[in-house]
Amino acid sequence: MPSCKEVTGRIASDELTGAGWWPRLRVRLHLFMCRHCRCYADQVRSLGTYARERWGAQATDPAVLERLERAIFQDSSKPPDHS
Amino acid sequence: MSIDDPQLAAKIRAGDPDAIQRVIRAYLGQILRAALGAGLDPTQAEDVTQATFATFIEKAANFEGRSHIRTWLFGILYKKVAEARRELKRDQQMDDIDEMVEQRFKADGSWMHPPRPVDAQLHDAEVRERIEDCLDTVPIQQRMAFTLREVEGLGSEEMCNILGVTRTNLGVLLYRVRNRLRSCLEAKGVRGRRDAQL
Repeated sequence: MPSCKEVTGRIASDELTGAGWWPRLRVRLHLFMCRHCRCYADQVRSLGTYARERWGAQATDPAVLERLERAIFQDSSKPPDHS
Repeated sequence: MSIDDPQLAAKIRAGDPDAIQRVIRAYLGQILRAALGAGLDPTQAEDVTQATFATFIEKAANFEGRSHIRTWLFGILYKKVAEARRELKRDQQMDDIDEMVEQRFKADGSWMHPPRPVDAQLHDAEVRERIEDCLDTVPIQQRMAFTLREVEGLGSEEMCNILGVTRTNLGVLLYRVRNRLRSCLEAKGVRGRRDAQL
């Protein structure tokens, strides 16, 4: 059975993404038995949820995107600066 | 022509205005979101987004199509953000978060100072405010890794190409940023609705 340190390290570094069923099962069993590591895993997951809600919403303002798009196209149509 | 058109790379290289416009429209929102997630304020994020696409247009003739156009754009963005924050050099040094994490475990790898229970209360206004402060202390390479994974949902291979790191190094970046954020919030004594603490 992996230790708490190993389990939290694997969770935080995304080591389980793409890992085989055996390493994943060992971590799941550990989480089932250890409330501290379960708590840690929940907190790490919550950080991602927060980030998606925070920045996902911020950049979708159509007015901002339209203004930026206009600025990019205006910028690209300027003659090259040779100064 | 779709953004996944196999001929897109050739058209971009040839400077086809329609292809370039299609790329800008497809990825403008994503690039701006990543710039904000990387810790720039809204004005800086817009400037860096504009600069990213300006470089894309300028260097379009060099796009060989070996990587996805999105990977190329995020790579340009990453360099622009690093320039804006001038922190890349500092990021590559040893990180004190490693030692802080070590101190939380006993020699056998079990918890010495376990995390305080929290009931996934990271959506509260109080936490929102404090997590912003915590993110400001995170070095840019770690913050970009966190944003690309959590906000944009990119896979490891693409992230490694964008950040110019190996898969192992990417794991270290994610490990450090998540532990840093978690520890920072815990140190700030963030409380949840049911008296739970992070």
